[in-house]
Amino acid sequence: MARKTNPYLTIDTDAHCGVPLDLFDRYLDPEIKKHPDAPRFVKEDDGFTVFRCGSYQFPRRAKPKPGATAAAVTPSASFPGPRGSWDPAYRTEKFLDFEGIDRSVCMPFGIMFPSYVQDRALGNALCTAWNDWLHDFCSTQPERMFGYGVINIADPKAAAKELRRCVKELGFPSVLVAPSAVGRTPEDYYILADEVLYPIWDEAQSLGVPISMHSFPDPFVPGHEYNGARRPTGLFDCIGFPSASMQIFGNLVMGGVCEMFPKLKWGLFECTIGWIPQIMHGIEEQREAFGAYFAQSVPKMKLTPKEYIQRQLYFSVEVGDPFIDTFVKWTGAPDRLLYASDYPHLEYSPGQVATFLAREDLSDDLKRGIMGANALGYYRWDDTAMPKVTERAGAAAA
Amino acid sequence: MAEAGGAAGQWWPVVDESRLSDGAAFGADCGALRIAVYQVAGALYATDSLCTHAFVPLEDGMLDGYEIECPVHQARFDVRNGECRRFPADKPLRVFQTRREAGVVQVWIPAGTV
Repeated sequence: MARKTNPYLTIDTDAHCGVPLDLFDRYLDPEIKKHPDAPRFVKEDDGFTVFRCGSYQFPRRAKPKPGATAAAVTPSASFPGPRGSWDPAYRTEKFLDFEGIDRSVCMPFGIMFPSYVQDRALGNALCTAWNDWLHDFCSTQPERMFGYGVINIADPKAAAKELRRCVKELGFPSVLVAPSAVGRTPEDYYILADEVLYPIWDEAQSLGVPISMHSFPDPFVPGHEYNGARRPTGLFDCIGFPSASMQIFGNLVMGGVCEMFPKLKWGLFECTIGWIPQIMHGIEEQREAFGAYFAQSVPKMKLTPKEYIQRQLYFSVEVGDPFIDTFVKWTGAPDRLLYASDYPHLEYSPGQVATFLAREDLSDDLKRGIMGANALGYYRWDDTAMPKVTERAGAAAA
Repeated sequence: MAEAGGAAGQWWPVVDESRLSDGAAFGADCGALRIAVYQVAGALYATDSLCTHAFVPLEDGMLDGYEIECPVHQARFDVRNGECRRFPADKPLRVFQTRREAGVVQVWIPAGTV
């Protein structure tokens, strides 16, 4: 198949990987394998394969009824996932080449939330196994496929250590964290703004790598679940993703994380962007209306949301998102938007890049930035480190 | 689009028999029509190639028994009757007759097929 090209350097910042069913046989620490709750795949009565690690299961779904034959599934969420998610040759030819994507940074799915595994040693081992596998997976296309390492924020010390390994040994341009962590008791509950997590953010800042977060509307936190299969509210996509992203944004901006780590970049993925102007407006309205009370309630936030966005926050955007112009108007930050395919999940459909480039409501400069030039800034990829990219990026990223 | 089956329908040669084995899928163009051929337990089956959800070639997917799984979104179809077995597709595939003729797998394209 001939490789498509387009005028711009194209970097996909959110393409998902499947998980081979033998991953834990091959990559899990032998001592951890002996644990009765060690990570594993389980085939349920209706033939659907789920991931389990202790009480954590993905996807969470209603227990199959006896005799059920047709699995009620979350699309593209069965394991090992579709071929495009785990076969690098197919993925390269039929996705990267077909779309004309220069580089793709691979997200996990399902097991990307080790901080929801109550046993922290298991959560840490899960990260190590995943990261080692992802490194090998990406090594099959070392100039085009890159990975998000996964770290377990439920164990901040271990997370900081694994973060360093991901960057220094495995070469990942970013790591992924869950938006919260749960444990065995209510006290074992972390959110991103908690100071106990500061050592992780400090390590990332010192290493100069961005922290990435993929929105997830079922964060295993009571009261914040939008799991369609378990609770058929129909809110999984249209409300769950943006509301989960708002929580993250609130932690980073109002919770003071951006203020405390001014050089640390953050990326929100599959977050949608239409809500951002509304939240920006709401925060500033509250600050103006409540003055001293606001300052007392949100003591760490010194700048405006707009200033934090311009300084250190990035957002992925879908090719058909109708709020791109609105986002740019409110934030003044067109360079904060990143192209995300969501391959091979439902937001992706073949011909996606061409569809985006055909949009008549966006300027060429905006398209150039979203397609790839902005991602160079996010990952801190430069000409010296990435000579293959430079050949196309030179003109496109200028 | 041209009618692959012509005015009276026809058998199209699509692949040498030796290139198929149990669990294998193969895609071929029959005029303007793209067909996927599968072999399961020695028997041949043929359906439209393109998934009815996002038009991804199914011959690139994994054949699990009699079900072909789309390599991108994991929709599933029964290759025996084209029945859609898993979301996100919700429309069936067309199925076509097959035969082996002098070492070549052929697919019957009825008249008027586009």
